[in-house]
Amino acid sequence: MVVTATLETGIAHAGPWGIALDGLLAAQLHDQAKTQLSPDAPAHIPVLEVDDPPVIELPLARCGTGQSWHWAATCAWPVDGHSHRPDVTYWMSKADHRDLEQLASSMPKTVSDARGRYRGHHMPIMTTICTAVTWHAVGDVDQVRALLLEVAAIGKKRRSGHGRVLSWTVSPATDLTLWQAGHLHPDGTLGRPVPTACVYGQQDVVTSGVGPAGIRPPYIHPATQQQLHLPVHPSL
Amino acid sequence: MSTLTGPGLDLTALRALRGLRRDHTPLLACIEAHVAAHDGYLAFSGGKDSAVVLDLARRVDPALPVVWFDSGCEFPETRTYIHDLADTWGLNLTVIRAQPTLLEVLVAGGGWDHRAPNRAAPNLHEVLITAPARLAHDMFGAGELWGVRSAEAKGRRHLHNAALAAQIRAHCRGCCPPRSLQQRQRHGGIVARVDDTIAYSPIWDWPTTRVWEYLAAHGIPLNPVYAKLRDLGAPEHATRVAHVVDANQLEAGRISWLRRGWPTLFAELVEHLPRLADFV
Repeated sequence: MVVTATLETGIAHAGPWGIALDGLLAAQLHDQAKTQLSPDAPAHIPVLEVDDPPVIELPLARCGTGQSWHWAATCAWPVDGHSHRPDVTYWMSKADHRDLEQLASSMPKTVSDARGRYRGHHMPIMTTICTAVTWHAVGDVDQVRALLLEVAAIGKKRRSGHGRVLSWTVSPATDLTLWQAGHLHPDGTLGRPVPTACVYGQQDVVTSGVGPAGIRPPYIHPATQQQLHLPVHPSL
Repeated sequence: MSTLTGPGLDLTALRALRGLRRDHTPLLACIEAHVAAHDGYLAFSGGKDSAVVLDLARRVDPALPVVWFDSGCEFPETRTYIHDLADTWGLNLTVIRAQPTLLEVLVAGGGWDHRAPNRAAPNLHEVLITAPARLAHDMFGAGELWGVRSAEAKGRRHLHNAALAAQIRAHCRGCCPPRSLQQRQRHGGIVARVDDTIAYSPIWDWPTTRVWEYLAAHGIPLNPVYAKLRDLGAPEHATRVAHVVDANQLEAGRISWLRRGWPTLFAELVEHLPRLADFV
């Protein structure tokens, strides 16, 4: 299938390649599961505090066996704007000292803006300016569409208006083989982190080398990190 | 509407034209006098400022010892750049590696891991600066040439102002008019330390634009980390080639640029320093 998100301005992301479709779907299902918890259910444990995070079943096909399997879905690929550098804006934060005085029963002599827990931040947000991003995937088109229709924004800093989605399109891709749909960007370069078995015999596929990366959601969790062939980013 | 593909105005060429107008003869004389009086070495970090000082110094003495203090947590491009430059320019290069390395000290302290207790760790200043510099001075003498500039940070401006005042008090016995440019040029940039070593930065009062002009005018190859950071969209103040990670500039996006430009390096570091992920 081909999944397309038409965007208002673009998408902010920290990593060099786009956000993963399976990550988006897993986050949606994780959120749904949390909202359905009953009041007397055990307290929710953040996934990063679990040594072996449970696999959330997605409406996608699996590729690979053993510990090196992954969902057959790629990372976001901007449909235009490839020649542009990321648009860099900044978010800033500064501790409100008057607010702290009202909250705390006692205050130290000084609360530094330059060091320690309450120091100010001036952090870059790297936004890929584009009108839409697209993913390839293998799976159940209707279920994927139903999950994505509830996603109003993607990427980082969504609460600040970044990554707002105007519309979702999920359609079958009859011109792609199953392997292409599960691994490649529209330009034929590698579209997601994959183990060596996935690119064995595919000498023509352009990657950006081998390195540690998450193989499946939750991508940031240490248990999902493996040595993988890494995808190409359009701005590099 | 057509799209322009050419560079339009080549800013590097423009900088080079400006840089060529400058006469560096007095600076070369100061470097020569410093090396003659104190021997020593040139501390080369792979950054743009020390590249300028390196080029000036090799015009005075091509065999001057050049020392790279390898913290053990450097960009891979920096290592390659320094060794390539040493080959191309025939530098008398010595590499002094920090023991333990910066990465080992950061891991040992426990402060970069949410789950690890805080532990006593070696002092970073001692590990990265004092001990390697002591070794270099033992090998090459009391003098040091470095590319430290006042414009880089408030602390460095204070250092140079205090050092200038001390030099004038100690050595300027009417040799130049008080508070004159001549006095700054003759006595500025020299830092006499309590351990009897003496560092001299010939470019101590240069603004950043002048550094870029010099590099362009003399065709000095630059550390590729600069170009990579610029291509990522990093602003001037974030284009630094210092250690890959330490406690500085974390709240100014330093790790964000690392993750974007060096994703595998970032992932490997996060494995050992998990709190790095908090600064993206």
